Amino acid sequence: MNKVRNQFVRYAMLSVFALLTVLLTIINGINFTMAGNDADMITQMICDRHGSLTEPGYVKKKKPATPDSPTKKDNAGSMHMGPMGPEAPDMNSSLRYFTFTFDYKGNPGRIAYDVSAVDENEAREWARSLSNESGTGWTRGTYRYRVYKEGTRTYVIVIDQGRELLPSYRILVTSVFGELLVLLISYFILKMVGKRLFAPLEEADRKQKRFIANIESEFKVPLTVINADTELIEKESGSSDYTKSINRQVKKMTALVKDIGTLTIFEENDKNITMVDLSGSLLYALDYHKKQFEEKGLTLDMSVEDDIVINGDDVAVKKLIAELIENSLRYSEKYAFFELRSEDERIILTQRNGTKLPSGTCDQIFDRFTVLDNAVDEAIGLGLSFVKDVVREHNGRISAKVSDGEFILRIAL
Amino acid sequence: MHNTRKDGATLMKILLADPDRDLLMCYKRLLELDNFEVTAVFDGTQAFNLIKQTSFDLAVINRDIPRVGSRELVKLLNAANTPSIILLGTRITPPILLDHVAASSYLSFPFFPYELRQRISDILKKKESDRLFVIEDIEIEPSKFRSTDGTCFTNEEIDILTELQQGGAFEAHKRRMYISAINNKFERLKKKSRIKYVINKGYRLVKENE
Repeated sequence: MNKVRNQFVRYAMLSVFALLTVLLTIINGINFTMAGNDADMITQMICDRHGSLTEPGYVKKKKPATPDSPTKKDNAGSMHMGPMGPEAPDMNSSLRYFTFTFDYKGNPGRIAYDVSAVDENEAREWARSLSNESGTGWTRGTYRYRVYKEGTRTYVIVIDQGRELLPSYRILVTSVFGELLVLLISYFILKMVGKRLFAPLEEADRKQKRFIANIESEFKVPLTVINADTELIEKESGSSDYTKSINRQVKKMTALVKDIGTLTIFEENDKNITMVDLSGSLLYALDYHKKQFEEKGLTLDMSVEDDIVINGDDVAVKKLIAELIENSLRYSEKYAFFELRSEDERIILTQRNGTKLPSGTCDQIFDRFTVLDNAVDEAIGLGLSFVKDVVREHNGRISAKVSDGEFILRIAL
Repeated sequence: MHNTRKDGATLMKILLADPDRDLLMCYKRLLELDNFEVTAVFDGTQAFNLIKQTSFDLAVINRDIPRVGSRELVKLLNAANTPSIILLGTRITPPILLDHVAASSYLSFPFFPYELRQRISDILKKKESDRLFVIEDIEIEPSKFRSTDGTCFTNEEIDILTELQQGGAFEAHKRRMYISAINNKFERLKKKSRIKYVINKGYRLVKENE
């Protein structure tokens, strides 16, 4: 149950993380796009004034050829709206920018230079490297550039948006820290909520275990007595169909009680992890049951790789092997085959046998108290569910399917 | 004095102590039909007094018998060299075999009459034998279910040790807990050998560092 609770916390945390990340990405994305648009308006305006805001003789009608700026008209139209539109009288005093031109030979010419943070030579080289670009974009973090051609000349306008971007960066940093804080708080809340939420389930789980344990202990003595009583009746008054029926039913119940005991072995045992000789245990168990396979007219075949050892619970693993063999003995048609091999650092244990079941997957056989159509009378559907529990506890995978009259159960550890 | 059967043979006396009166009633009758003389009691005090007063060939005791516990009863029985079978509601595990009351055998509920019958006949047969065998310098007296130095061994442990001593094929299915218990007893007795599964050879007695 602890596992389920932790899984709940994990998935809930993951959802919170994903939601927050998407939300904050959208907010910050919009923020930076808007900052970019604002900057583009300014570069467009500088571009409209041929690279310099201080150049005399600016005529708005004289449109520079900026084929890379299809939205120029819109931008120009919205210039009046911006805080740094052409009508802002002190705009050029707060704007840090430089413009260089390059002729077709690549010779530079300075049109405007008003960036104190960058040396003029450096600015020129910087502009040269940008002259191969086209359109607008961000460079060196907070600088927005616009490159356009006019005749044979290439204009490179770079404006420093450091101050303008500061609020956006603040929002970004705050978002990241905010997200981490929210995640931390949600972790503690989820832990607390999980405890409360799972309390009834845990109680139900405890009750179920207690019930199973009670069945186990409280049924044992009565069954023993009924067993003896039936035999006594048969001895003193002779056997009848009814006593035989009692015998059959009691046998079934005895098997059930013993199986329930098996089921709880793994839950009540403190797991004792040791090196388990899987090859040896499987060979030994198969060898031991060889005769039973023969008696049932089944061909038993095996292919077991030597010296496969795993870290695991010795009792549980041996019980797992016993359950597989028991299952195979009960349901095989014609033949049974066991294979143990190592493959890509995994250990694969496969049990194959002939079957009359129709093709398809049959993972439901691993559910408790589930039996298939071919189940024998005394089957109650606990053996393979125990197998699944053991495989899971050893971080393995188990699957079962029927294909062309062959039942294949595969365990990867 | 043992009573005698119709055919002149001596009747074996069995003490049956279990708090469930239905179980007492049916098993008393069943065992009587098998020609045993059965005394059935439902609490530990009665059993304690009876063991002190009378000698039995075998005692079958529920581990959870009230008042005087099974541990005390088995101690008393062991002193009188009377073998005992403990019936328990839990599975037989190595800790039970090691730390419980050193009974001659254990049987878990639910069981069938033939299982108890088999156990009783095994134990009584062993009790009659005057055989003594030595394994790993431990001298074991099967009739007393213990070694000469006082370590108790159950009926099943003695069977396993006998098979090992004779070097025969050894089948351990459903007897692993007895093997663990023997290995633990060997460890307590500071013996270097342990029973281990050897691939292609089955269970063998091997030196620990092999």
